[in-house]
Amino acid sequence: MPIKAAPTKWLYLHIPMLCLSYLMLLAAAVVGLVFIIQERRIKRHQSVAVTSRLPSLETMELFIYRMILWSFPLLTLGILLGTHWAFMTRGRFWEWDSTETFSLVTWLIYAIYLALRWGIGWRGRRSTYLALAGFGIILITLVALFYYSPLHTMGSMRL
Amino acid sequence: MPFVIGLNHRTAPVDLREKLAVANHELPGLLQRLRGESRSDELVCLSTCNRTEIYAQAKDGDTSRAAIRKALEHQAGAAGLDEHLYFHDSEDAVRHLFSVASGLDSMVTGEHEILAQVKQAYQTAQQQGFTGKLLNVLFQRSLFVGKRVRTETGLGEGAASVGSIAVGMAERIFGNLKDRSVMILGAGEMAEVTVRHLLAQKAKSLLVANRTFERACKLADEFGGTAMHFEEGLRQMAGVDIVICSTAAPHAVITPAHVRTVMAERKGRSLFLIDIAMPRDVDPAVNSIENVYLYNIDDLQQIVNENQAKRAREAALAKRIVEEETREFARWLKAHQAGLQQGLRHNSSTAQDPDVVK
Repeated sequence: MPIKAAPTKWLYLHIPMLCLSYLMLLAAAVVGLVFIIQERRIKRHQSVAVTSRLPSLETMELFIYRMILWSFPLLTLGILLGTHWAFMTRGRFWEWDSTETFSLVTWLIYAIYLALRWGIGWRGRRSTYLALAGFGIILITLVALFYYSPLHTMGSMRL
Repeated sequence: MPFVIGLNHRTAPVDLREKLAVANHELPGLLQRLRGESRSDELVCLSTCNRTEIYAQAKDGDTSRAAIRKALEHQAGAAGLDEHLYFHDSEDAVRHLFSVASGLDSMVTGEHEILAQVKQAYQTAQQQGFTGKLLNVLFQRSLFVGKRVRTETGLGEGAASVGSIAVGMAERIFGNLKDRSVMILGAGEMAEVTVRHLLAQKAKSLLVANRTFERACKLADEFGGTAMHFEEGLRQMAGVDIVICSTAAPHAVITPAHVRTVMAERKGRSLFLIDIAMPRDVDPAVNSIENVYLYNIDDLQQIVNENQAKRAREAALAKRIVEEETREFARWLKAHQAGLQQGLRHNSSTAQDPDVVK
């Protein structure tokens, strides 16, 4: 891999920013799973919905929304820093390597989540599925990052 | 042998329980008097709004028991309490106290308040020096049994009425209801009053819509809400979170199409519909709309029944624990009694086999 210039220090924020946003999106996904289960119980009139000590649907929904809302700028900035890093080291912003592609899909899914929520009030079960799908893509991104991405040298960390 | 004499919500009417209720600050005086009159060695008085019970330990149980009964009759200001009083001694008294502490004997089975009341009653007696070794061990054990039942069984969990289930579900959807608004649609005679009442009590605002405006006004006054015409209510549905339907309409007045419009206006925020009308007011297909939760009276009743079945199972489990603990305590008690006759001293924390003591 040809290295044109060493990245300046703040470019290293690329990694912690994305890690932090992934962590928040993980929290959103975990609560999302619980939400899906509890929502189904209430919809199906199951008595266990009342006896369980889970938070209310609205509380969980709001948590998922906030996690996505807060992580989105980090996600965006992290990806932008990545493109800048790529430009500094390889002279091109975007090369469609697998990590880049999946990151873009992730970003798009959460962008759609937020747009639909603000626009037409998409919330509840369907939007939570979207949040889960977004995290599914993150998992694929991470797999790609460690195993298949020629441009992200994380692969060399594999022992 | 320890014994208990007293009455509770099952054996005595409320006006009699009232007369025998002893306030906390009156307990030492009462215990003092009882000790003098009954020649009991140890005494604890447990008095709540649902029961007044005297636990005692005396060498001459019969005399002591008669004296306490007389004192209770005196307190009640009437003779002939016999039909309301119960009496248990030795193992039965232990079983009774353990059941009480577990909440098995409470009016609302499994409530937790009683354990604190038992503790309070014991501490009051103990601090004033009315308890000895036997009642100390017995009451400390009963607190342990009460805690064990609470942690090991689901006794007392799960709401038990249509109204409380409706409120419970609303809370599972919205969380705290205090900034939610409720609409009552229709004021039909079939309405389940508790549902309206409970929700009206907890929510921020209440709208009452009815075809007859006078009737709407009457209900609105009763619950402290705003009255409006039925059609106006249908139009304003997007502004409320919980709708209780109880019209006398012969067919569904709330259609999926109407609810879809409402949901679009609400920007998808959850809507909880409770249909307590008979015949039903809300088309069942409404439940399949995203973020809409529809419960009719049968759905709520079904959950009540399931909870009751669960409560019965948990009560059986709690009774087993009480039984097990009673047997164990009875063993200790026997050893303790044998020890007393021999004039032996025991370590209060260890149960001893009677055979060894002999």
